[in-house]
Amino acid sequence: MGKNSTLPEDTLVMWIYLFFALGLGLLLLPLLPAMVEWWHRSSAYPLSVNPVNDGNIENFSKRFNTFINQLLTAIKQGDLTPEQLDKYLFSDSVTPFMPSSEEAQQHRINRVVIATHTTELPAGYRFTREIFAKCSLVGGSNTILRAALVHGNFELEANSAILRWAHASQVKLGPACAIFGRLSAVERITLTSDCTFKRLHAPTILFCDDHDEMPRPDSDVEIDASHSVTPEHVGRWLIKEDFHIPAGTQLRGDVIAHGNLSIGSNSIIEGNIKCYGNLSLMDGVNIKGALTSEKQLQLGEQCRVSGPLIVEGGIEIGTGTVIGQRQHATTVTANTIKVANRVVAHGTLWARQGGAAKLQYDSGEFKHCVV
Amino acid sequence: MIAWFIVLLQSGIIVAAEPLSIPLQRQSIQMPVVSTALLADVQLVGIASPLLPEMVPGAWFFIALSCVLMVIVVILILYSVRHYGFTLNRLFAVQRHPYLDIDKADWPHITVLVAAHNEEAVIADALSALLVVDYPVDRIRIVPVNDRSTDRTREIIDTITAAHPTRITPFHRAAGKPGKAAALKDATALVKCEIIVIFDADYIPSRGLIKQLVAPFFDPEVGATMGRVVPLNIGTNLLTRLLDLERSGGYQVDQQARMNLRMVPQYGGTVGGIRLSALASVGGWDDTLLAEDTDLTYRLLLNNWKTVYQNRAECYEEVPECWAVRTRQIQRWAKGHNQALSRHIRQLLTTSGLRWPERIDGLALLGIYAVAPLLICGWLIATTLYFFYPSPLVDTFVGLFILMSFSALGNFGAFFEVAAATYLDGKRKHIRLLPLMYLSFIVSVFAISQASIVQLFDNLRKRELKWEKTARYRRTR
Repeated sequence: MGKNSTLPEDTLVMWIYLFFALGLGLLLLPLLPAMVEWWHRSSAYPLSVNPVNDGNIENFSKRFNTFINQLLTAIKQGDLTPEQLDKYLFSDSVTPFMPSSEEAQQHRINRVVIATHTTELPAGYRFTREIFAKCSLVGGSNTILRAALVHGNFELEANSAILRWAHASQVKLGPACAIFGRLSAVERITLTSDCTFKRLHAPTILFCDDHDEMPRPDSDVEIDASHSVTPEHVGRWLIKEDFHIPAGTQLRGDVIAHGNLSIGSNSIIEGNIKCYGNLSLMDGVNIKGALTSEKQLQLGEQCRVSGPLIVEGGIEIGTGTVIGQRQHATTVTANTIKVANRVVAHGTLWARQGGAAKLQYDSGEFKHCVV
Repeated sequence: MIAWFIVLLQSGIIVAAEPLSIPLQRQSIQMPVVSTALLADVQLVGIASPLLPEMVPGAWFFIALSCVLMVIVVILILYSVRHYGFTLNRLFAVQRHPYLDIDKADWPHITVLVAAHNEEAVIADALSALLVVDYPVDRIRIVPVNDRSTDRTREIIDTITAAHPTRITPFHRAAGKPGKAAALKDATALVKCEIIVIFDADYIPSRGLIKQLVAPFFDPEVGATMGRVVPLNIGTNLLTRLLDLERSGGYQVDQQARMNLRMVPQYGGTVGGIRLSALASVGGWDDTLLAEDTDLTYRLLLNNWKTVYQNRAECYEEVPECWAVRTRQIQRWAKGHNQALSRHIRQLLTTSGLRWPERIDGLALLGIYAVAPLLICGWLIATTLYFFYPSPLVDTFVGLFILMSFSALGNFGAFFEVAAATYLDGKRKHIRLLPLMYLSFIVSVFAISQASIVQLFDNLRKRELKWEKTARYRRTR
């Protein structure tokens, strides 16, 4: 027993080795995933950057159009089985839009709709797949559709909704329609009362009811050089606090205000404006440049802005205002965009949180905030 | 050895370690749950117990060292806080992309400068990509800036120009001062439009990139824009993968957080745009500096111009594939950054009109390459004090310093940032390599420190710094 009370030397050495091996193992254990990944290279590829992505709003409709063309070719060549054809609902001059009895009962179409002639969609239906219309398309009231590509004119009646995207030659939305995704047109989009939107794009976007008289699309007001003031330092005015530009001012040069900025009525500014605070334009102001605000932007009535409107808060656009020019489309981007009636925009309106065409508003809602 | 020390520290083994020959009483290094308790301990020691220990020979020298160590600790804590702040901002705060959605506008005339010095392997790809970008053809002019190339760069450029004579105007520079800044300076003098966009020859712009880089210039306060650089050759070896992680953290988290917080996004010298009136108003290119991009960021800032970072303006680049090239690259950056530090720090502190977030972040960014030598100094001082100058105060600081420097450079701060970046990029598997970033961090610490020391001697000898081109790895067509 006495001899056995101490460990033999080789056993002791073994325990010491075991101890260090265990220590080393515990040390390396957290590194195991890294070692495995280093060896197996399961994610040794670069971050995906789409080389052809240009952010064009029409990319969705272009891809869908390509898909439809391939599909129609396949159908013409008889490549599709009846089961495959059942996934589509066809409408043409011979066969008008005709849902199955089950679809009619549920008011829900779960098939891709392909219409080769002018088509009218019945009211109150929900279309969970895309719609392709070779000619014009009219959606009844309370229609909800996922996406639509219409080569002719596209009209949606009141209280309808577009969930993903829609593209057409001309688009007209009835009252209280909602666009949750992207809506684009080759020529014109018209939004009537209480429509809401996220992203709109067309050469001309009108916010009006049928009877409204629209403002002249382009401004031809020129700055009077003899009355204008011009900054000396690389064409910029830097203002470190709140500032008000008096009514009727004519200014050539960029303006940067570190506080709030308001521009008096009928002023003409040939340059870009940046404001850290709220930016307010009184009636009839003409800006030949861009407007940037880190907070809110309010445009009075009958204003003209030729360049982009870049706002990190919300924008309110007053009656009769024209944004952009037909030959020089521009972009309005903000968290929220509220638009009064008889407003014309050329280009893109992108409301990140949501936009609203408030045509029947209380006049107090759009009153100016004087800084 | 230090890496091993850190690993030991992490594993807790060092807790039991005793110094080799310390005759005096001391507390062993504790591994408490960090910072708050430890800081409280520091305050207690400072208030309740005598700050000055028994006067041993040379005590004042050690006290001075302790003070230096304290300053270093504070700096490292600040950088740790900065890492955490940026990362939490990216994960939870409102993100600013004010210019992202501008897709239609009366786009300005621009000139795209492609800096090329012996770029036969890559220049064709860059020019081909630029020819198909989404920008009005009549408003974009592509100018490859061939800076004294001795390979086939000129021949390749001329061949592509012959096929697109109305779109490409080559600028062949046969003589003059070497370096990208000097070449760009000469090329910029010939540009007639207001906006220039700059790429290195190894970059491959995507179709929508140019509009993303130009859109912020509708804001009259913007003097420069910067896009995101994405490594392309990451599958080559461990180094390229680690550099990919590093870049992710730097752009996806650091740069975007600065943009969110209205701080100082950095113009990086490539994948970026510059307003020429802004450049002229701050004195144009300075070809005496190694990091003309950093210098320009600060000159613009100090003259009321802003730099905007566009996180979605992504562009592929090559990263170094061997450690020697990587070391030279980061040493060049360190020297250039330190030049900018010495040039702008006083103005940054004294110029009126800067917002406090800009001033603080500007200082932190300027000093970023000074952290590595400071860290090594800290290690040396801490070790010296630990072995040769025992006192409760010093012990506390040694523990505090080691823990905080660990957090600042090797552990949570920077690593949290990189992990968050991979999460935001949707590349979660990348995160598995995170522990191996110890390796690149340690290499960087020593490379930067060496560069700083060399630069110090160069300054003393009035020796001019030399620009060194980073090697390319793509195969020549």
